[in-house]
Amino acid sequence: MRDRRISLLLTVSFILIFASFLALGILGYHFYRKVDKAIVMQPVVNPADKIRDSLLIVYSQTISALEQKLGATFATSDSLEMNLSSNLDKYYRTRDELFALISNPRNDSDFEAAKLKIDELQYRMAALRKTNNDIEADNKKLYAVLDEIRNQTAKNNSYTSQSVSSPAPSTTKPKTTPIVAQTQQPLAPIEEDNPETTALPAPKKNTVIPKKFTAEELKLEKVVSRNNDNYTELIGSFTLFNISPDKVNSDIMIVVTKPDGKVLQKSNWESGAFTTEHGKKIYSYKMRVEQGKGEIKKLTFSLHADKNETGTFTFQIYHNGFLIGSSTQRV
Amino acid sequence: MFNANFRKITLMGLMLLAFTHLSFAQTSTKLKYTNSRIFAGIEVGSKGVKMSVLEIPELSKDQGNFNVIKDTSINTDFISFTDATFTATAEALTTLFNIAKNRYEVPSNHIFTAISSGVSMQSEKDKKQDWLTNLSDKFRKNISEPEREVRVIDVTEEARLSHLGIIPDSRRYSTFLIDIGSGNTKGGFFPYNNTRDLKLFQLTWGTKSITNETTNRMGDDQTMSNYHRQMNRVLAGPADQEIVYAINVSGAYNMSDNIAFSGGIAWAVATLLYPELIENSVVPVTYAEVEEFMNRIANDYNSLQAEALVKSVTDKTVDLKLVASQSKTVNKVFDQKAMLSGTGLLLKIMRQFEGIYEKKQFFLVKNGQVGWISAYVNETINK
Repeated sequence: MRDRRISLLLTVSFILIFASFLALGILGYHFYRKVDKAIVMQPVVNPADKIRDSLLIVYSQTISALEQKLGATFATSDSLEMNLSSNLDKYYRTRDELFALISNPRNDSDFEAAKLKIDELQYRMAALRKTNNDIEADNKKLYAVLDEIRNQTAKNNSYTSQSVSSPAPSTTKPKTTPIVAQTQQPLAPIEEDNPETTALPAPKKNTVIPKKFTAEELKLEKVVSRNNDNYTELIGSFTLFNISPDKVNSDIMIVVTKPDGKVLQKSNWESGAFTTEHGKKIYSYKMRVEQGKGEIKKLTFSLHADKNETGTFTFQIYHNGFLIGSSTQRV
Repeated sequence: MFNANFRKITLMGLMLLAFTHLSFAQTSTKLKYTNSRIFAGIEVGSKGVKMSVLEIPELSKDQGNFNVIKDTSINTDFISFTDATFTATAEALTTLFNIAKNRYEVPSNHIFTAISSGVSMQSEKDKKQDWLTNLSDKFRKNISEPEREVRVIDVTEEARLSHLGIIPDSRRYSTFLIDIGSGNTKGGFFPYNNTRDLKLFQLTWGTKSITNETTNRMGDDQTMSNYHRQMNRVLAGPADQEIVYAINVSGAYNMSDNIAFSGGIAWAVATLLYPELIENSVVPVTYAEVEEFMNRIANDYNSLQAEALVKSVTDKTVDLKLVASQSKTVNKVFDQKAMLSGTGLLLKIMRQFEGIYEKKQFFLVKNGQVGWISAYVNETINK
């Protein structure tokens, strides 16, 4: 009898414990669902997006500022045009009236009227001259704004080519964009007897160098070396576009940076250093290219890499010290 | 008598000091290749005895493929041809041989000994050829190897071996190698697609001879600007005709795509011009870069001091300690005037190859002094 009671009590207590666990589980599930919903509702902010958004804001601000400037300029130019055409209308009308009066004079009052018209014509001519001067002044302003826009575009272009990896391959030919760069004077002959002239460094001047190449589809692939088991060959490939209006015969520098930050060098004879807009840089391999106007070439090269070296490699291509293509790749 | 003894004791003391320095400078042998053999080359030069310990890969098909384990020298001034310098040279030769054999564990048949062309030419001039024979005999006796060969190398053979040792096979027939020494300049190229016939190129001008000639012209005005002016006159005057003629006669302009420079000044310019490439044995340069570098020597020499160079390196992966130590060594070996003279001569030779339509690729070789040994080793073991 006593045993039956105990077993009953045990059963009840087990049921109660089970019920409490169930209740806790249901509560937990509801709480989880709530949090999950809240997470889903909340927009995920990616750091890359943050950077992109801030860039977008800067970009939109620049564009809107430029638009305002351009809008104001266009508005002024329109008002000037209206002013000019009305002045011209008045001038031609007065000239015609004067011509009619002089060619068919009926009485002396016509001569008086003609005299008045001549004065009026002179006044219109002075007004036209003034309008002309205003147009010249506004033209100068417009040229200044255009120069500013050009410089802004060049800056944006060089910034984009440095910080953003090469875009997805496209079939459209990239547009020629100028780059503002510091260039040296052409090679001057050595004046043997006058060291002062040779001793002075050549003055540097700001000139606009048109970008001649762009590189896209930058790829790196690791293959087992045929000659040495300790090394693997790193095959690099890219598509080079000649976007200049002429045939170009020039050197391009290939920089492949290993995961440890060191530049991978092909050999002492094939690798070296060159000067970029940000200082000296080591190149992995120098490639001589000869490419006609608008020509597109698929180019490849190979480098020796350590067999055990794996990770993220950076692949950059430079021409005339400027970055023309870049990508990062896990090899 | 006392004087001779005193000099001998002083020389022996100096040698002992050099040996002690060598012992402390020695670090554990770092091998680069998995399958390789170690060789040593000991050369009696005009200034002293040089030793290079090299690691050569077993299956290397290419010439010039080696790792320098140790490169050192002891100054003995053998070409003075005095008893003291003779003894000092023989002692230095023996000491370096023993270091190679005992410390680097290079087998005796892997140690090659030679007397350079400079010593040979000077001995002919002074009619002291028997001194070379005596030196070889004394050395053989010291190391107890009566059969050992101490080869006397002539200038053409030295230039040929240097080319084979320094220039990779892929550039063998397109490269003109020029070694700018202190008292002369020599080099050559292979015009006939074989490595037997070298077209030799020689100049009687070197870094030191340009410096001496310039110093003689300076008069009372000892300023740097006067030195620069006088140096340009030396290069435009007496040296000009010889350099232009020698290069035209060599026919190297039409035959070579690459012009490689070795010797002390090439090492110095390469080290200071591109500290980023401190670990590279070869540095490609352009005429414009060397010209700008020369202006820096003349007008902004402080920017070529170790501290300034270290600061100028932006690449974080560059070994800055190595940059500092190497540039300090360069500044010790070459002062501003010597640097200016050497670079002036280098630029003068480069100028002959700087055409309007055809540009040559210039290279500065840092370890040119060890080049001939690797070629000598390769030729000897393949005989």
